[in-house]
Amino acid sequence: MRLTVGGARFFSSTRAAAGKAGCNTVAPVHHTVKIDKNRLSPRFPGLQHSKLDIRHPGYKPTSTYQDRVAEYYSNSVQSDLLLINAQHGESRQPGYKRREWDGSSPFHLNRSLRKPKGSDAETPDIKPHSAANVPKIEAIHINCYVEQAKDNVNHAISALVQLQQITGVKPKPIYSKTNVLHWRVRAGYQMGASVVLKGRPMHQFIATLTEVVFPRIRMFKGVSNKSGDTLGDIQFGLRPDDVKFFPEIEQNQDNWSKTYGFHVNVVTSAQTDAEARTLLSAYGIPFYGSEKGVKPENVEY
Amino acid sequence: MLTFPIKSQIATLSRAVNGSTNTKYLISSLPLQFARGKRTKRTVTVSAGTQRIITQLSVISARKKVPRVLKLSNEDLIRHDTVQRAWTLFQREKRQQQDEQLSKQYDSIINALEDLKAVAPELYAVANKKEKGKRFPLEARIPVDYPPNKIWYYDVAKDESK
Amino acid sequence: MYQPLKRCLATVASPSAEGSAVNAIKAALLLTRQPIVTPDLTELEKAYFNYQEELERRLMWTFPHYYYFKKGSLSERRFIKAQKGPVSNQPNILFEKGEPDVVHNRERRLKQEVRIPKEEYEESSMSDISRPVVPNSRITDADRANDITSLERALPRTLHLLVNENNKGWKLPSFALAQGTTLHRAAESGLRELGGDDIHTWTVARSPAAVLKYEHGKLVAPDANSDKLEREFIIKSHILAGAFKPQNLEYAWLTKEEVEERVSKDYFEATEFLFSRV
Repeated sequence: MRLTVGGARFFSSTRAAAGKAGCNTVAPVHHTVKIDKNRLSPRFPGLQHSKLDIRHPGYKPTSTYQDRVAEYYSNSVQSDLLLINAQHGESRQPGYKRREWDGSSPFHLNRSLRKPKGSDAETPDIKPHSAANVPKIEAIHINCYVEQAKDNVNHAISALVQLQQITGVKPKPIYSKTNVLHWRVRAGYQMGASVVLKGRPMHQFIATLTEVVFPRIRMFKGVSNKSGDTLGDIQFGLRPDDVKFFPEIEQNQDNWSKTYGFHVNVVTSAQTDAEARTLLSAYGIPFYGSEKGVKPENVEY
Repeated sequence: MLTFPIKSQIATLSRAVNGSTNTKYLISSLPLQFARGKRTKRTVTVSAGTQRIITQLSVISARKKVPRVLKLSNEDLIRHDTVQRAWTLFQREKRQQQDEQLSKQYDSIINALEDLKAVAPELYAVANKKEKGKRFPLEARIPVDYPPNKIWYYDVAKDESK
Repeated sequence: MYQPLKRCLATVASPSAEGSAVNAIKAALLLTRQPIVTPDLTELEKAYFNYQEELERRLMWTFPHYYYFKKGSLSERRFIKAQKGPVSNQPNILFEKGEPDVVHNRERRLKQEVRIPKEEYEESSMSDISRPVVPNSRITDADRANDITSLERALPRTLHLLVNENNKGWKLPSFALAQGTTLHRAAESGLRELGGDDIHTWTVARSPAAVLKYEHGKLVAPDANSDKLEREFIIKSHILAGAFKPQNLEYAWLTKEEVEERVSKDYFEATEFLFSRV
């Protein structure tokens, strides 16, 4: 039985075995399925376990201290938010969905569905509020893109270390994806760092931000009421000067003559931005500007 | 590997030795170093900026910083599992209690609103209206481990008059 | 930006009109003081956090002191002096607790003990910013005196305002509704009529958190229905500053357990889920 034709390997051997030339339609798997050979080897038995197991060499204990931010949420904020959001007689509000073509043209057959009306992308339905879906902060994404890194990669490294110092979590370097001629950026340049915070490091970051950093920023107004991606995530940015107020940077000023600003995306389980802002205000994040659909004179306290 | 200045120094030294006139002077002024005894490793002199980056890289690198892997005996492993299970149980009970209380609160809110709708529709219209731009007060604080020097502020008259 | 209760104060309750359905409706107020310090830890929590922290320290990377202290500086010398170095391995010596494995001045088999050099404080600089931090006690004078009318007691707990009107029994303060007012305004203005204007509160929401139904002054089930029912809709609010100072009225700031001790059994059963566990 001949399994190779002209040096090419066939996964489906039927045609090749028949001695016929042809094109293989079975997609090869060996490129897509990543095999961690360390896990197959009997030399590292610890790797067979999950990282949450103490036998794994990468085990890291998480609950090492009382999480006061999490307790504040579950003891005070959660039931207040439930009361604020709860409404009688709510029903599921369908989001923007892709539409059928009307069939007026024969070309509509097999054509992919029309874009939703009023939006480019589909949006999820808004479900009635209940005790099970009280909004909470799920993660914080920090993204630090350093423009100067295109000329000197050292800036990208410094930005990475800066994020590590502030958050206590190891960040990942980010790379430029494409060539952008007028920015003089080529694909594959290391351009900064990003980190996803969850659990205790996330709570620590929020507390530091609202208790130490925000109060010390000069002329600080707050986060814009217009911020948000309509799906319940709030974004804001910190300037390089603001970053200097993080205690880890401030106590080590010799090393941080230059700091790097970054973008923060607070991912919440709120269904709308307005609810997400209500949630964030409980942690002491102030907001400025007019909220959509609210006239200042109609606000009642 | 020899660096350029060392090479040239040796070259000048050898040239001086070969030459006739200034031999004495040169040998006495330069510390005599033979090529065999010379440190061949490059003496690295980098700028302060580069040194800072090197230090920063070494901070985030695991090299020479990783402790030994934990090796627990079977007894220790069982002990650890027991502790872990007790903790999970504790957390689960806490969460269940909380979820129960929260769903009771929700049912009670909906019940109250339903009742209000039947009894006083005009009050219900106000109570069930979604408040836009709702914010927690700025005075709300995440509790801290130890109380502040002034625990409670009693004078609000000034704030109210604003 | 947040402003204190402007509108609430503008509405002053007037004597209610007789004979309407609104007459049988009252607004009760669940006024809470939020915890000021973190909750007390249980023994299990204390032990578990300690265990996890020790594990974390054992598994931690070596502290890169060369990053935090500039080479050759005074602070570096002080730091290095404060450290207790590990015992290095020696040939032909038997070590009782295993052979040392030292890399970068750290014993790899154990947790690294990083000691912070002690600062020397002078007596004269006690008012200075560099004075040592002495935390305040979590137990206050009000706790020691067991003063239940004080807002400075039971700092790790949520306190709820309860009143005892004419010795009729402890309950949440409730107020009659004036014509044309709403539940949350009636509750807030009623509170100020009772306890003075020197109070700063935040109404959580306009919607009631619960309804209590009375028939001939006795609590009935929340789903009961009759023409003779009196209703109390409970509005939730937080006290932020100021104090509740009523004239000739017994009142108390109580935790959930203390509420249970004081109120009647059926009242507590009807309202138990509203009081915070912590």
